[in-house]
Amino acid sequence: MTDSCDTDGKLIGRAVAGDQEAFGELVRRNKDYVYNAAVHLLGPTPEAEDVAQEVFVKACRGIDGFRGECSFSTWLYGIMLNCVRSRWRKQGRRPDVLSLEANGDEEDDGFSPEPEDTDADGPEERLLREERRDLVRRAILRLPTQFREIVILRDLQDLSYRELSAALDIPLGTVKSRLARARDALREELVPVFMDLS
Amino acid sequence: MKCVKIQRLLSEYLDGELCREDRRAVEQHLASCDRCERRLEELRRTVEAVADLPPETAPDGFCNDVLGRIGSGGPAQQKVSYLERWQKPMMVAAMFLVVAGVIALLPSETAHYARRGDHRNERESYRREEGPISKKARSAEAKSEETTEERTGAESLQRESMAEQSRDEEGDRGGGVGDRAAETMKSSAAAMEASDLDSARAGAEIPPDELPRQRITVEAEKPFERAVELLAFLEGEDLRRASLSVKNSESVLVDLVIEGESHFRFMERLVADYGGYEKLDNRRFGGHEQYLQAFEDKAEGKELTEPEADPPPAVHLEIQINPINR
Repeated sequence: MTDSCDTDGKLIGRAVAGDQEAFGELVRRNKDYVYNAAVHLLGPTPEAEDVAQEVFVKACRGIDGFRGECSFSTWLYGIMLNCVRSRWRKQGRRPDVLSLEANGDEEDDGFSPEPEDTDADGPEERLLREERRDLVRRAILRLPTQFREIVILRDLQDLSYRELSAALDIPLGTVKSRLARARDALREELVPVFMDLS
Repeated sequence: MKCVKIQRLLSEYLDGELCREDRRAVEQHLASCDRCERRLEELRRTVEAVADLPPETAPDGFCNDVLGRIGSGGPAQQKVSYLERWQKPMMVAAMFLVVAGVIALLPSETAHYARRGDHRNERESYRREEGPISKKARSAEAKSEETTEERTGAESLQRESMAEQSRDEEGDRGGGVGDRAAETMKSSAAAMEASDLDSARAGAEIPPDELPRQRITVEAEKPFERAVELLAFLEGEDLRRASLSVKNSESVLVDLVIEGESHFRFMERLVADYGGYEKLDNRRFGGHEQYLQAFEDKAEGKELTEPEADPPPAVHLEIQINPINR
C-alpha cells in the first residue's frame, strides 16, 4: 500500500525491490515538472510527451543505479536531458525546434491556454500577457540547445546551481558562465519584445 | 572593474550567488554606470519573463501510459542484467584480446617496439607526455625518439566506428543510467550550439595528426577494464575516432579524437579520476592556453571554470594505461 506521505526515499527503496505501485507514485509526483521541462525544451509537440514518458521508463529500468547523490528529481532531469539530446541528434544536430512557427496557427501555439478564472486583469491585459509569453517561448526555442537547457532548468524549473551542475553534468563554474551567456542571449532576443510591449 | 567584467557577473548577482567582495564591486559599479544598470534591468526582466511562463501539466492518462510502457512486470523485471549491459563492450574487449594475443605471438618490429615502449613507461604514474601539433614537429620527434613508433602496431587495431555504434545504442541505454556512480548523472549529449557546430566542422577538416595532441600515461589495476570504462564514459559524445589497442598483453592505448565541448568534459573526468594532472605545456597545444589553464587550475584544486576562449574544434588524445603492479 502506497501512502502519499511516503518520502521519495522510501518509495525509491520499494521501487528498487520491484514495487510497481511505489514507482507509480514516483511518476505521479514528478510527472508534471518533467513534462513541463520537456515541452519547453522540445516545443509543444507529441514528441515532448513521448520524451517525458521515456524518462520514467528509463528511470524505472535504472532505478537501482540511483545512488542518492542528488535528489530524485535532479536525477530525472539528467535522464531527461539524455533523452532530449538524443532526439536532437536524430533531428540532424540542428535542433532548432520552431514548432510554434511551424504550427502556423497564431491562435493555437500548442501550449496550454491560460486559465481565465485566475486572472484578475481584463481581457486586454490578458491578451497582452499571453502575447508576451508566446514571444518568450519562441525566443527560448530559438536559443542554442545548451543555453535552452540551462535557462529552462534554472529560470523555469528553479534548480539551484548545484542541482544544475548535477543534472547537466558540468562543474559549478561552468554552470555560472553558461547560465550568464544563456541569459544574455535570451535578453538580446527579448529586448525588442520588452520595448514593444512596454 | 570594467563594464565587460561587471556584465559577466550580473547573472550571478541576480541570483544572489556572488561572494561579498564581487557583490560590492558590482553594486559600486552599477551606482555610477547607467549602461550596466540598464543591462541588469533587462536581464532581470528576462529572468522574470521565463519564470512567468505558466507550467505545462502532463496530460490525463500520462501515468497509465508510462506504466503501460514499462509493462506489467514492474521495476524489478525491467532491470537489465549486469551481463546484458556489458555484453557488447565485453565482446569488443574479447575481440581486442584475441588480436592482441596474435600480435604477441609475432616476433615483429611492432612487438619489439611495444616492449621497449612499455619499458620506457614503467612506473610513470600520472605522467603526461606532450605530443607535437604539426606534422613537421612530429616527424622530428619520431627521428629522435624511436619509441614513439609503438603506435604503429597499435593503430592496426583501430575501430573507427565505435562512436557511431555508441550513438546507435543510445536508445537502448536507459537501463545504464546510474549503473555506476560515475555515470549516474552523465551527460552523454552532443548538444552543440551553432558556433560549436561550426567549430566541429572546422575540426573535422583537420587530419588527426595536425590536431592539438595530448598524451597521458596513467596506471590502473586492470588497464583493459579501465580502458573499456573510459570508452563507455564517452558513449554518445562527439567522438570522431576511438580506438583501443592492447600492447604486449598488458598496457592499453586508448586513442581518441574528440570534438567540441566533449573534450572539456572528458578531461574533467580524467582529472577527477586520477586526482592529478601535471603541468601542461601550452606551447605545444595549439595556442589554447586559456583552455588548458582551466585544467591546470583544476589540478591545483581551484574551481574549474569554463574558459571564455573557444575550445579547440577537436583534440587528439592518446591515453596509455599501464598495469599498476608491474
